[in-house]
Amino acid sequence: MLAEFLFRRVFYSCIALLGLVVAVFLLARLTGDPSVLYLPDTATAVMREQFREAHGYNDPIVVQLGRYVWNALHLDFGMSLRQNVPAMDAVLQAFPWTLRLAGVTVLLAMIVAMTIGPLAAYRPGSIFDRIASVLSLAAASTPDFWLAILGILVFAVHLGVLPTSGTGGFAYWILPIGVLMFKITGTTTQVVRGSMISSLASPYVKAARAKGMPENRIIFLHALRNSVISAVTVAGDQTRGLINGAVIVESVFGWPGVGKLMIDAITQRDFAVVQAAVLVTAACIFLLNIILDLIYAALDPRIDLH
Amino acid sequence: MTRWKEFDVKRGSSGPLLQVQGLEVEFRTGGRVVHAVNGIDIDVRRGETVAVLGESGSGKSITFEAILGTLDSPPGHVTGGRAEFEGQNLFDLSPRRRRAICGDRIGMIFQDPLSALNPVYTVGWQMAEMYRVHRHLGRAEARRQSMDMLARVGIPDVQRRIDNYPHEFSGGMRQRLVIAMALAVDPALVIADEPTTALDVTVEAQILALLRDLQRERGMGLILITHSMAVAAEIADRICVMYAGQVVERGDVRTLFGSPAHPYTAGLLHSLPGVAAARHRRLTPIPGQPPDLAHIPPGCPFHPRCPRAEARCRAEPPALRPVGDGQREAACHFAEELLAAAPTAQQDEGHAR
Repeated sequence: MLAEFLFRRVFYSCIALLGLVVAVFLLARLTGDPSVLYLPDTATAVMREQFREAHGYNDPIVVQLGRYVWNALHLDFGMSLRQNVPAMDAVLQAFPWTLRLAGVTVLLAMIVAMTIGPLAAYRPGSIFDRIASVLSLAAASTPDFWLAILGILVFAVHLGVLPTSGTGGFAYWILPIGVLMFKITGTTTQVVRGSMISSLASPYVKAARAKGMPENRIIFLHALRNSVISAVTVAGDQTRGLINGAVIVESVFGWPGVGKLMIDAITQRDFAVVQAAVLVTAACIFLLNIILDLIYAALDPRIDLH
Repeated sequence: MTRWKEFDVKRGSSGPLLQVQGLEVEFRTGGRVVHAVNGIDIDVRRGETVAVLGESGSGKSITFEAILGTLDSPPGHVTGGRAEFEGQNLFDLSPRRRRAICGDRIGMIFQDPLSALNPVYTVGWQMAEMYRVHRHLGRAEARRQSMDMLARVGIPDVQRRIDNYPHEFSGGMRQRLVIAMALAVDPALVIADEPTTALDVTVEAQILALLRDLQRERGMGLILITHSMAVAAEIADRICVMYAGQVVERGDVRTLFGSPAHPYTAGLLHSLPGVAAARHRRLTPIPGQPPDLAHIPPGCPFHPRCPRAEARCRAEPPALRPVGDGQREAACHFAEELLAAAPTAQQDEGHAR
């Protein structure tokens, strides 16, 4: 059953990826003529023509597309015009940075949300709940570009305790993760709190109390397990956003991730890199969706993988 | 439909297992005070089955939620009374001590077994936690004892079924699971809140038989909360009829059903199809609605619906007092007249057959 599920999902994902490759290929061509950007202003019409001819931009679009797909099936995704390396190498170099950033951020956010959410929900309307609700709402609605610049201003410029940008030791991770965590933690905490309030009011929690179960067991085993599903939904959604590249945060902090790579490639009309980046992130998001479905099925026995 | 229980009540020799005195519960919501329970006295002995009978909203479930400490509070508050269980007042105990008694010494069976079971854990897990928490048993031993208990309540193929989830069982099987959990650590008292209401009639009979067997086998006290006179007659030794958060009549099941001393009990009997037919009477529903518990009528709470009500009933609340041979109590100013007017139990039984 599991093998069949995985096979089916991977098969459909591949079809979707193919469609995506075609769409991105065509859309990228709409951004204009690469020779205008690549060659200096002084380049003659002949030089531009030679450039286009050399890179195959003069062929009919269908021929270009066919060539691209054919090569892609042979794992050749073209060369990056700017960096003069294979486009896929550039993407695969940037992608782990994004994945690590996303993974750590989501993990920390989940831990915080799963602790604060249930405690806030335990006594709705209590001081703790009110503070947690206001803070999580504020965190969920703070724009990250503002937060990122504020973070640099306070911790890097004024206090001088953290680096402004780039990569390196542990200190370089703090600001990007801190900024990204805000929104995810806030949103997830709110969802966990809401779902915990209804779990804690449910008949099975009353039954667990009548069974004489201790209160911490009721909160963190009986009720929370039922609320994890909604938390995973939200966290999964947020992770998708992060895998896409936390474009703004990566740009502000000079994080060498796929978001920054993609933005640079788009502004430079480096088609091969844009296409490779979209392909890899899309594949990764399809994979994430399959994993999320498996997690759902593991968390809630009533969910059938079919 | 109803098989009247043979008069073989085996009474516990010791004092009451649970003795509730003058229990009062209020719900306070936004300036409104709902008087859900108004001075209830109930007692249960070991080995005895007491049915608490009443319409929805009569406060029967709330009474036992208050005793178990599972009342939603706020808005619910216990405002008076005692509940002595095995010699200690449950309301004097710390919440922690009281929780330890729940499940261990007092088991609770719920009306809707599907919602009382946690959907995301296997029944084995939910069963085993009774032994793990109350008996501090290890995983393997808790599982072994869970299997024994599940087999005892009639779950077939326990080896395999123990790892199933609640939604994979039928309604009757789920109620058996809930019964197994309530009785897992051999409580002295079991409270069953409408245990068969969510089930169909054939399954209802099986579950009642199971409860009766288990109760006899273990000698525990059983409180059966129900709105069904048929269910009460089927397995109860004594009956406690509740109306508007008060006990209006209580006594031995046969005495009480044979010749009710309170108009409300009589009304309930006449609205029961089987009984009305057996007595060649028309089915007569009780007119009107149960009172709004925020505005309970002065005097006798039943007077607006009572065919016998007089001026006195509107002014003076009747106390629960012994009537007839003293084996039963009723809270009606005209209990003696009612008894005198009614045919005796023996005549009635003969009539029914």
